[in-house]
This record gives sequence, C-alpha cells and structure tokens, in this order.
Amino acid sequence: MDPSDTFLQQLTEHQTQLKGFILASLGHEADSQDVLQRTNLVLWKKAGEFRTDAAFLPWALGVARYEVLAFLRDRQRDHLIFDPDVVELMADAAQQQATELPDRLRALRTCLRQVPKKNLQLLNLRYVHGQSIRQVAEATGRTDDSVKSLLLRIRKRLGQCIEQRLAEQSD
Amino acid sequence: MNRHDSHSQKLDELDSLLLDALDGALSNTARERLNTLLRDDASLREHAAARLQEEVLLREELRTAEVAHLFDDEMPLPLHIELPEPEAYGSNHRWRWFAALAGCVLLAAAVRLVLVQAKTTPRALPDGLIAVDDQDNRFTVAQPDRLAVITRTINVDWQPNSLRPDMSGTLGPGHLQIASGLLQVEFFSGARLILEGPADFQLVSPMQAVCHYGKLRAMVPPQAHGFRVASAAIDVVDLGTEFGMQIDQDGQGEVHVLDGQVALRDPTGQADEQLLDDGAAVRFTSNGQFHEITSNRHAFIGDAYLSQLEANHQAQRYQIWHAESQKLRADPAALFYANFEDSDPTNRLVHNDAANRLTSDGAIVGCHWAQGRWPGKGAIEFKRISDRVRVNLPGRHRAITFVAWVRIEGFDRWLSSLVLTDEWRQGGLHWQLSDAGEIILGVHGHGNHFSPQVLSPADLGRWIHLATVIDPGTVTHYLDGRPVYTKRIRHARPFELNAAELGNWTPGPSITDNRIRSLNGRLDELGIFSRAFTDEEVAAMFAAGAPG
Repeated sequence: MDPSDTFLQQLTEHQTQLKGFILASLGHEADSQDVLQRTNLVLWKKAGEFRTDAAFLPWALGVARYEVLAFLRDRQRDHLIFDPDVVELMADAAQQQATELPDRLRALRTCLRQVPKKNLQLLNLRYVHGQSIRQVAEATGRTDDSVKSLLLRIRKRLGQCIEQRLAEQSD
Repeated sequence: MNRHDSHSQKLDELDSLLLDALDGALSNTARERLNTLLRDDASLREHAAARLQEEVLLREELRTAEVAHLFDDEMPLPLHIELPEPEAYGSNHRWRWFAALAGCVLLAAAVRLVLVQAKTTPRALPDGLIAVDDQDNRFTVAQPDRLAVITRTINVDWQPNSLRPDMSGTLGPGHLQIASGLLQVEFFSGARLILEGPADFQLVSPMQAVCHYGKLRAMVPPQAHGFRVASAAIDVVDLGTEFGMQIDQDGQGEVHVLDGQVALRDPTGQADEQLLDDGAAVRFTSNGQFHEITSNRHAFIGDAYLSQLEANHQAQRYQIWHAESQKLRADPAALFYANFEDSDPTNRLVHNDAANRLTSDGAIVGCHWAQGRWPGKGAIEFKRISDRVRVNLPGRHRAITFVAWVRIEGFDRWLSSLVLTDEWRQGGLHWQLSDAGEIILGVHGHGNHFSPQVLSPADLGRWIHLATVIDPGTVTHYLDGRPVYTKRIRHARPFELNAAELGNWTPGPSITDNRIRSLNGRLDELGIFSRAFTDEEVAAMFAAGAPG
C-alpha cells in the first residue's frame, strides 16, 4: 500500500483522538482548535517520515503534545485554563486514555440511547449548534442555573454509564 | 463526612468547573481552584481528561446523527461506520496518483487544509446565518499576513521555490518567481500590477514590493499613492497612476511613466529624489546611474491586450474542458450528466447529456440560467429557498460518484444541498455542504461522512470542483481534484436514488429539523455515475475543467 494512502486515511481516522487529546490538555475550545490545526500541518509536513508499518497514533500524539507545549511557550496567554504544569499532567492522563477512545465512543453510543428525547434535544443545542448555557437558557425559556445543572446531571449520568460499560468490557 | 462522599463531591465540583471553563465563564478564583484540584489528585485528572474527551466525542456523534435526523424514528443510533479488515480494502490503484504528487503540491494542500480550518469559526446559532459582511472581516483577521491577491493568470510557469497563492488566490509576503507567463496581482492597498515572466518579484507589504528582475506595469489608484517598487539600483515611488518597469537579471533596466508622475529614489539615500512625468522614461544601470530615453508605452502589456490574451486563454480552456466533457457524456455508467451548455433562458429543462440517456432530463423549478465558468457557457443559478432541479435516477447501484462544478455564493444555513434524494429512505444518499465548509455524504442506514473544513469564506464566489465517491469499501471526498477525506467502510446494500433534487431537498413529514437546505450558488456541470471514479479520473476532470 502506498505511504500517502495510509497517511491520509490515518489522519482522517485519528482526528477525533487528536482533538480529544488536545482539548483534555488545554481545557479551552478555541485554543484546542488552533493547536489541532498546527498539529495537522506538522503531520502533513512530516508525512514523508511516516512509516506505514509504524503505529500512527503514538507518533501523532507525540507531535500533538509538542504542539501543545509550543503553544504554551509561544504565547503569554492570560486566558489559559490550565497552568503549564497542569497542562503537562493533563496531557499524560489524556495520552493514556487516547488508545481507549474508540471503546469510549462505542460506550457513549450505547449510553446515548438511554438519554430521554427531551434531554437529547438539550445536548443537541449545545453540541451540534454550539450554544452557550446562556443561549440554551434563552432558547428554552429556563434560567442559566437550571440549564447548567440539568446539563451536569445528564453528563454525569452519561459518564457513569460509559465508565460502567468500559469496566464491563475490560473484564 | 466519609472519604467517599468527599471524593464524589470533588468530582461534582470538578464537572461544574470544567463546564464553566468550556463555556468561557470561569472566574479567576474558580480557575485557581480547578488547577489545585487537578494538580493534587491523579484520579481527578483521569476524570477530567475523560470528560473533556467525551466533549469531543459527543459533539462528533450528535452532529453526525443530527444531519441524518436523530429524532427521526426510522433512523436510530448508532450511525457510525464499522471498519472492515484491512485486506478488504483493495483499491490500491486509487493512490498511485497521489504518490506521484510532488511534495510541494501535497504541502500546498495541507497548508490549505489548515488555513481553511483557521478561517472558519464554530457556528453560534442553530441554523445560524453567517452574515456576509462578517466574512471578509473574519478572513483578514485570521490571515493577518495576506497582502495581495492574484486575479489573473495566463500560462504561468512557476519556479519551484516561488511563493504560490492559496486556492483563493491570496498571497502573503515572499518571492513570486515565474519562468514565463502573465500574472495580475492586486495589492490590498488597491495597487494593481501586471507581471511578465521571467520575473522574481518580492511582495513586502500592501504598499511595497521589490522587483529583482522582470517586467511589470503598475496601475495605482489614488488610495494607493506612494506605492513603491524597490530594486537594487533604484526605487520607484508612484505619485500618479501608471508606470512600467523592466529590470534585467544583472540589475539594469528601465522605468517608463505611462500616466501621472513617479519619484525615482536612490535606495542608498545619497542622491536626490528625481521626479519623472507622464511620457518620460529612463534607463538605469545596476549602480543606480540613469539617463532619459524615449518612452515606449507599448513595451508593457496593458489591460486591453491582457484581456485579449485572457480571452484566447479561456477559449483554449473551454476547448480542453469540452473534450473532457465528451468523455464523461460517453461513460456507460453515467446515470445523469449535465454540462449546462444549453443556456436558453426559456428552457425549463436541464438536459441530461449522458449518451446512454438512462434517465430523463431534469425539471427546473424556480432557478434561472446564468453564466458558467466561461463567457457563453451556461450554468443554473439557485437563489430562493424554493429553487431546485428535480431529477429521477432509477436503478440499484453498488457504487456512486458525484461530481460537480459549483460556485457557492453563501452558506445561508447549516446545510446546503448539492444532490439530495427525497425524504430519507432506504438506499438514499445526501450529498451536501455545511456552513462550516465541510463536504458531507449521508448514507441512509449508515451515517454521515464529514470532510474536514475545506471550504472557507474565501471560496465563496469562485468556481470549485467537488466530488464524492462511495463504493462498498470506501468513501472519499475531493476538493479541486484532490482527496481531502477517505474512510474505509463496509456497506453491502445497494444505493437506490430514485426521485432526488439538485440544490434543494424535499424532506418527509417526519423530519422536523433542518428542513430547509437550499443551495445559494451556481451549478455549471454535474454528474452522477453508477461506478467509483478513481483519484486519477477526479483529478483529470478538475484539471480539464478548471476555469483559470
């Protein structure tokens, strides 16, 4: 198989894992998007170095990690969510979880089926249409606090369901 | 309070802090608390990392489901694609072409991919309008170093290390190096240049450039007075409207004032500035000595001649496209192929030009005829939300290729239709674009394939080539002849398109969200084929049909 064949395919397949890793390391949506773009650019530039028999994910995560740290170094940002030392710790935690992300996705899919339709619509507003809590509150005629606490409850239940499924899988 | 309770309280606190962080609503105190929690406890970090990664998963999963109508009872989760075993992926030949691409082309595509992503921002409202007057602004903010745009290219032979425009034609600082051909460069200041190869021309700022060698004609409107072309021997500052300049590779050359006035300056600052008026010309040596010569305004290519060259060039491009179009017409797998050559405004049918005539003509509803990629070449324009072309595509097919030349005028809402089968039924395919610049193929019973965000506001108003190929083993999206997304799938069921629409959609009554998906733009070639095109075929169609 041609190297660039494998490369484009691998890059497509691992976008979610790269996004997840970077967001978990930075905790900031827009910054993560920036770093993902830089990471993709570097990966493209290095496509020639990629060996088809090597594992793509560890290689790509290595690049992503470097770009996360470079991002911290290059920019004195006042809106950073995590302190630089916490970024490193979070990157370690996220790196360990990155390989199990496909399992997590499968679990999430199953768990989403148990979410009542009404709550799904709320998730939809937030995750499909990217609305802030304030915007969701306005759109649904609730208070900010009630939207936030509902979201937290839905996410907590989903999270618990996912962890339970992952634990079952690993038995 | 026991230890367990306090841990679970910390988890709740952490979740709440993370939600605020993602919402941009984290106070300084809360931020410090969040960092302390994470710094001190590895299990909290694991929890936070998992929740944050789930943010990404949720977004992708729900978004994928949303296009395919999550709330439509016939379309339950899950929607994603199962991967087959690697050996099931057998279409190696598709990629030889890709391998043949020179590194710089690959890199250009990559830079494009990344730049484009940088230019798009997440939508803020459901079915939100991206305001048109907002777009230029976002574009310049995201690309602060852009300073000029290439608006005409005629037979340009680029040097390997030359600065190249991105696909929207814009340029940052750097050296434009061409071996031959003509380029029209418009600086953001308003200054316009016609550059003749061979040339090495360096863009410095919207008001300044350096000509190392080559020939140029500069047209400078009042807004850009003071526009300066520097060289090793002499600096030319425009004070009027138009001048020509020509420099040899050894640094000597000529300046001709065609209209208005220019100032000649010594780059070392030793000699006095000299003003040169309309009709005057000088020849200068590489050390900056100059003397007057007779002006020759015909030595520099002007607008009229450029237009004529361009018309000839376009006629050639049209011929090349026409020959390729005849091949596509003759393809036995053509289910529907329209090249929109028949642009009689009274015609309310889109002629199916496929030689085999497997399907009837398309019926135009509301749309008007408009100009296509070249003068005299037709296209159909979709403007109102009711505009559409209805087609009927019978049969069951193992593979489908969609190809189109489109000019998008705006993304009016989340989804814009290219080809959508009516409602959302067994065997149906939905080929559409999102306002985030993604190419999407929805496969009934199977899920949606989103390309990366490959289109940006800079792509609005230019002709782009889109293609998507699906066979039982692979889905691939292409922009301008290059693959931008490819995914292995396993999809044994045949596609049954039947009644479908170009540029719009007739949803079923059960569908409540995102019912309006009308296209805002023009279509001047469209093909639907019941076989999988190879990379080479898509690239060839792009190369033959590119208007530039």
